[in-house]
Amino acid sequence: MAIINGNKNNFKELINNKVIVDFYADWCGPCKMLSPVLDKISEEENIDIVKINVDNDPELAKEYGIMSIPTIIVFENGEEKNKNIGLCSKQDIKDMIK
Amino acid sequence: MITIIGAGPAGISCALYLKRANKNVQVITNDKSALCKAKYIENYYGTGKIIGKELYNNGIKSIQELDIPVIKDEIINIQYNDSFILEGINNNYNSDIVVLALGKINNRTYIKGEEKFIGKGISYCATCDGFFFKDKKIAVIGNGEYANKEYEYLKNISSNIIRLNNDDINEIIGTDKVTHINLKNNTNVEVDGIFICDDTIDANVLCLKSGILTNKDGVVIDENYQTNIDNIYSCGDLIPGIKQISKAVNDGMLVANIIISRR
Repeated sequence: MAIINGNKNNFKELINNKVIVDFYADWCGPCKMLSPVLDKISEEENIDIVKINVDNDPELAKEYGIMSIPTIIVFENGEEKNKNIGLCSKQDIKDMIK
Repeated sequence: MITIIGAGPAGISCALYLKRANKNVQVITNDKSALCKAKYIENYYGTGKIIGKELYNNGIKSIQELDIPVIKDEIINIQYNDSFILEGINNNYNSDIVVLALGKINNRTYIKGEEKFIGKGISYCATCDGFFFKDKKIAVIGNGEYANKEYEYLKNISSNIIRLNNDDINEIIGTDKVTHINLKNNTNVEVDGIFICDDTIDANVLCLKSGILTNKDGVVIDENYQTNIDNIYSCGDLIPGIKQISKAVNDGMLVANIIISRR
């Protein structure tokens, strides 16, 4: 499905659906490597990817306890279902959204 | 330029085959190969019983005789724009292709409490995670050159940094995130973030910082020995499989041939 740029204004609404949230920054090497993997997931799976740039939204990062990036969190009905800190494989992410 | 990181059997073998195909190749090593620590090698073709360090030195000598530069440095990060920039403790190096031949991933012995707080105050990468600790209380654990480098970076982020050694620490304590370090002298140091830097950078940490995918068996590679990043290859003890010199030498040769046939 789609890649959506999230921010503090639309975040609460976005996580009401089942989504993968990618907390990232442009200066983060491993984030750059994870990004194309998430692009693939959005093509292959029936789930949206919400991108949160921690430089633009440090409050959101703080609210969700992000202290290391990349961190991806799977949300469903506004609740945190699964979380992975650091780079992971496409299969790891597919397992997280099962 | 092709850069091989590591001068053990895999790295040397790879360099040798690349050079013989007229490729521009350099080798960067921190001289901390596991082979140097092996008292004797007794199961490798043609050498008989040989001291590990001697076999290691012979390997380096053999490629220096082919005019391959062997640079002593420790690579602590790999970044890329159009080509790769290998960030070393002493220098930076540009490269079009990188071969990781760093030896076996060490599964580190955690400090008590460390594993529980990974990503919750514990970090292994100042450039990745320093951002989250702006003006906060930071501890840098380790006293090697790598720790010095991370400390220098973090000084721009916070003025409240203490330096500690593994041996000083009894336990890392916190709730949902790190709150303090209990020292062996039974005092507590309040911290928000802890950056752990062993004496030399572990292959695992270099991969983590650079965005190279690993699992418990080592660096993840495809059928062409390429990592998740195009033009970064890996071979030897760093990849899954038997940890033997003969296998590492074979890996290095195969990676060289793959690179030669692709270019």
